[in-house]
Amino acid sequence: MKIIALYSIKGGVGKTATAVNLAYEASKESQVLLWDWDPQASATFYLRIKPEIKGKTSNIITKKSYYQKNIKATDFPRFDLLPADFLLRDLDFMLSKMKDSKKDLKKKLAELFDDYEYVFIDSPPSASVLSEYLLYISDVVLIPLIPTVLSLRTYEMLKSEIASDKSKNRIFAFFSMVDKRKKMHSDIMEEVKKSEANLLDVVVPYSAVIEKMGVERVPVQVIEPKSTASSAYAKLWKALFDSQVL
Amino acid sequence: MNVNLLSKSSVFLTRQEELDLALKKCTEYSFDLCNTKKSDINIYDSFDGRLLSKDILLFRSGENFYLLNPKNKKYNFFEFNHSSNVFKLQDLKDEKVKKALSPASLRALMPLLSINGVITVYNLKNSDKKTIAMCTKCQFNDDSFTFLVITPLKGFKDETDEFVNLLKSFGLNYSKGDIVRELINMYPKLHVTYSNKIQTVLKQDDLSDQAVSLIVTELLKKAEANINGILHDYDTEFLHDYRVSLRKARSILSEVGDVFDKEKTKYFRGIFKTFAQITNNLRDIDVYLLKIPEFKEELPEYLSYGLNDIEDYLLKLREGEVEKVNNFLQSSEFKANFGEAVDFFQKGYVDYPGELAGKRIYDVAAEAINDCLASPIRRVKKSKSMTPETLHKLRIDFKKLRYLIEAFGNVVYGKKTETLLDKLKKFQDEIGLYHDYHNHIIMLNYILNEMTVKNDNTEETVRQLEKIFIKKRDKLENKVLERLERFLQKKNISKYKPRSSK
Repeated sequence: MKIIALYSIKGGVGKTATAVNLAYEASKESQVLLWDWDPQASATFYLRIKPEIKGKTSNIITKKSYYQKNIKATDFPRFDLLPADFLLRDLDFMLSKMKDSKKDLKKKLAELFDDYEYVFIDSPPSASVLSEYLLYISDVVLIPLIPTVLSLRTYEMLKSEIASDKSKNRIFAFFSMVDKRKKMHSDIMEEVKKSEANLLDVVVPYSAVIEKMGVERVPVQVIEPKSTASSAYAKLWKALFDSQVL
Repeated sequence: MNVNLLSKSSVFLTRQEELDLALKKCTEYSFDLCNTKKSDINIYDSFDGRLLSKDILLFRSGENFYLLNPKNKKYNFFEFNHSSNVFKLQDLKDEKVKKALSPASLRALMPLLSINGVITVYNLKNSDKKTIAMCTKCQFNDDSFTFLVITPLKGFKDETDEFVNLLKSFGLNYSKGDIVRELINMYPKLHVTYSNKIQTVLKQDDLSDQAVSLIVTELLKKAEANINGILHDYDTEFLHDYRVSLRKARSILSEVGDVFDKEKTKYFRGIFKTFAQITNNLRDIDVYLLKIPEFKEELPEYLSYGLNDIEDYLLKLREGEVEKVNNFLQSSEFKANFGEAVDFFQKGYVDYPGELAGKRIYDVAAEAINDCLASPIRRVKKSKSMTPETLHKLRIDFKKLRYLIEAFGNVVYGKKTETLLDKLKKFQDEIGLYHDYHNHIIMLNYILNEMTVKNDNTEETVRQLEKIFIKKRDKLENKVLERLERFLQKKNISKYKPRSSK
């Protein structure tokens, strides 16, 4: 089982759309779970599943029964979802109070998700204990990068934060929500490509079909399989594979 | 075969129109058609349903065979191609499959039930248009019923249960299981297609000649059902069941045959005897061949080698007997006689009433059972000592009684029939075992004399077996005699005495 986390300190960069579409792409050949860590529950909404909003606050993160009870099948074969849970608003708190070390948590998750080949995590935008754990337990951390100044700034912040971390070799970035009509997008992309070693050669465009996911509530590959966006997600999945980290 | 059909699901069995009406009322749900395809289900078993009796389910759908493991209740599937629909256990290549089937002690497997139909799969969606379950509708060609199998998707059991409860509230026939199991429940007579067990259920006031003819007709049909299996030599049990069916028919005719014209009864008893007699040698050989592994276990290893010659000799002899029996069963004479018997017991008997014709079957059967009960008592009183021959005759007396109870027990004893039959059968099996040991000794010596080629060990082997069987027979004798005495006690016999009818 490999964990692939979609992560960014900044919100609105296309994490959730990427998590859903990439998980769908992976599920064409593998058993996949998408775990919605974001209390906004957008990935859960995209897949027409209701988030959990009831339940007592308790440390559920390593409880097997929690997963058995809550994992749900999506409408697509081999693609399950662990919906957003309101309890996860306290995830930071849970992790900080947890007796298990990061290593223990990683081991436990590997046992819990033994049925799956890939577990995608759609994480909320934050830089906290949560991101510390997320970076540790993930085999791949995927960062969507909008080619704008602000987006690059937050990316630089993240890089400096993990500069000494061994996990930096497992962190990949890709350009997201790219508008090719904007010269600034093209210029920034050219510039970043020169200096960024872990940048995947994939560009996910800013596209109406991705926005349509909120209405149709299915992955873009189902709405328009031949669209540029669909091809971009297929290419992204292939690029991850070729990176030999998975 | 869609795997949803094989997992434990909610199954509704209903008529198509009723189902359509119920589904229309489920306005909060919608159904998305996934696919429709033709499907076939062929349930395999031994001729007498041994797999099903051990709760082992084997069926073929399309190219694959599916085997339900009774221990973990999960299906395994495997590919297997054979030139014939009927195949032997050793034809199967997969050792695990053979092992899983072994508790049923069977030799040949054949399709006992074949169903063709159309299977349509729908996604059941909730008000959010989220799929919560797979709905599989199965319509089978030969019947007017439709199955709806509902299997929840992971994490949607509660929501699916709400839908299932809604359908239940419309009065649809519900069960929890898998569709193949449900299909089997639809065919309660599946297990007994070839078996000689009498199934006709009579009423006390049925007319005697009509009732007896129904029983005999059923037995003739059972004998006929086994003929194909005998001709292809699929399993020795076909011949056994053919013979037992005819023996029962003959025995019933001798006990209650006076419902028909005496001459006709005598004629058909004679015909049935001929039908069976020609197979006597083949059956004896089969019994001995089947016993050889058991004999081998009784012997020290160096002597079991001596049985190989006996086995070879019997196999050679068997070839000739099989040919003889097959020629007979395919002869125009047999076909004509068999057809004549079927015609007579189906309708012709009305023109040949006997002195007991037209009476209540209860009265006729009760009197016959009373006579049958008296026979072993008389025989025991007459005999000065209990010889193997007397015991053999007693065994036949009890067999006659058992056949009568099997045919008319429902009329005479009602619900007690099975208990009485079980008790009788257990007792009979013990006398049978005693008789078998006695017979083995005679038969082994006979074979030894007949054999022209034998190795040094053959004679010693027979002598050793003889010693073993004499010891076993003698050891059993006292037990059998005690049982016999207990069985014939007034207290026990009175349980078999027919009470006055209701």
